[in-house]
Amino acid sequence: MKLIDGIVLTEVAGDYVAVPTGEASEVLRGVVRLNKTGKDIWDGLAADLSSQQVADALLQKYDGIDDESARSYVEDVLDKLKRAGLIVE
Amino acid sequence: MEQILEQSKLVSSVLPSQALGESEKLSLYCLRIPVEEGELWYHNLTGELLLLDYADLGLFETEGNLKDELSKRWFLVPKQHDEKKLADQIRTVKELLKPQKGNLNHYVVFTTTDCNARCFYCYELGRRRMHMTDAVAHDVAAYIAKNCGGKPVKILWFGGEPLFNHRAIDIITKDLVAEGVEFTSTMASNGFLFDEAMVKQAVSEWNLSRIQIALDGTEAIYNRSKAYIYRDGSPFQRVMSNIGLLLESGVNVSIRLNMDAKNADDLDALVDELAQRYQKYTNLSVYAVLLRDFGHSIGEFESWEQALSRYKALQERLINMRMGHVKYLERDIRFNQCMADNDSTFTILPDGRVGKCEHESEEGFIGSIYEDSFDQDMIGAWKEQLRIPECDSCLQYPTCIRLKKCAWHAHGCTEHDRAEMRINLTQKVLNEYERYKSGKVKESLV
Repeated sequence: MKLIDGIVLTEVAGDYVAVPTGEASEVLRGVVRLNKTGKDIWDGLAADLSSQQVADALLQKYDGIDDESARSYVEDVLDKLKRAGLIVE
Repeated sequence: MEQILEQSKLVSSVLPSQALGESEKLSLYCLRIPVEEGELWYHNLTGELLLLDYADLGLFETEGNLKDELSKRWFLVPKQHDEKKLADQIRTVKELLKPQKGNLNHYVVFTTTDCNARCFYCYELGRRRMHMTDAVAHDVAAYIAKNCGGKPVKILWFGGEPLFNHRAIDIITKDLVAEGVEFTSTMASNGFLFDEAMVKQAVSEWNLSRIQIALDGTEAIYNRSKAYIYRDGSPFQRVMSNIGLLLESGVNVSIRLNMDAKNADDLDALVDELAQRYQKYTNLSVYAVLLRDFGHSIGEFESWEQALSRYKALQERLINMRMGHVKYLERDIRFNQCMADNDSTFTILPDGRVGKCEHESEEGFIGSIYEDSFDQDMIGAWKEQLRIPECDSCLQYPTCIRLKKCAWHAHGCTEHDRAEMRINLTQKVLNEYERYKSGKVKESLV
């Protein structure tokens, strides 16, 4: 599972926006907004981590979440990115 | 508080609501305009327009819910909030979303750099005069056909005076038809050389949809200013008659009134004459422009304030007389200032050279129709944006694009430029509000 080429992640007002450029703009007509945690997940995908590895990284970074919550959050974000066509298997 | 316009689509998709905290100041990008019902608040970054009534105005700094709403919408911000950084971030997203290079579908074709008039204010005075030859005209058509990617083409006929070499227009349009290229054209002209037959040809063969004609005043002032090369008759009467022919044929006619200190009063009389003759036409629009040279002087106006005041008064009069073009706020993303930073638009000079600016006919070219590639460094130079310290605190920053190579921007950006931009922005906001109100009236009548 990996991010398609041509997506640029840029910061806006403390959140992040995934902007399609080039051929990616044919896949995603618009942008996808991510908060800070979404950005962490994005970075994990960009580093070719598995969804479990990304969830583990969140657990290490943030206090107050458990394994199940972390995995659920990762799945939600991955689902959002998949529906937008930004992830390919 | 009433919402007149919501945030622009781009902003609403990328900008979160501001987190509520200590909002202590009005946003730098908030334009406040008093109206009968209270104040219009327009946010020049988000594109949102609100109406605050007098009760709201007394409360917004203290009343919790209202203050929170204005904070969420970025009208109120914390003291330490870096507004320019946020504007830059939105600009970055805009830049990333800019359409990639595609086909070459917009051309400004100089049929000639020569002219039948000698306007004293013309920026082309002293430049080399050349006509496009028949051979080059055929080559231009072939070039357009080759590069348009099968998509429709838009051509602006330019010069000099483009009709001074209308033969080039004949050749190019006939060849494009033969090649099966779909095209429409517009023109910037003094309008003198038209006659009934040429107007018919312009519509049926050149696919002319719109023309811009400049007028400098009523008959005596116009004839003196334009100083045509012809000695007989009154050019003013001929041009006014041709304007009528063009309007009658359905071409959209845009009349530009060049205003300076000497003709400001006379333009009022000209507007009366235009109204008397052509007000019935819905395809007529008239607008004023402050005449200034590349050095940006205002000539003999006593002050910039006086110049802007006369300009504003004339624009308002034109709108009240229903001849002015009512301008509204741009709601879509604006990617480009002009053709100079637009990858699908080029000039073609009479000798086949290709450029990026219709005001530049002597240098800054990026290649020619006889070459396979363009000078990318020069293309990049045309796109370079001008930034000055005043941008850090300027209302216009989110939507302002000023290009370093632009002759009109070369002087930088003065307080008078900003005052003029503020006048134009204010008018657009008021026009939006009027449109909103008349929409509500219509709804209430249904």
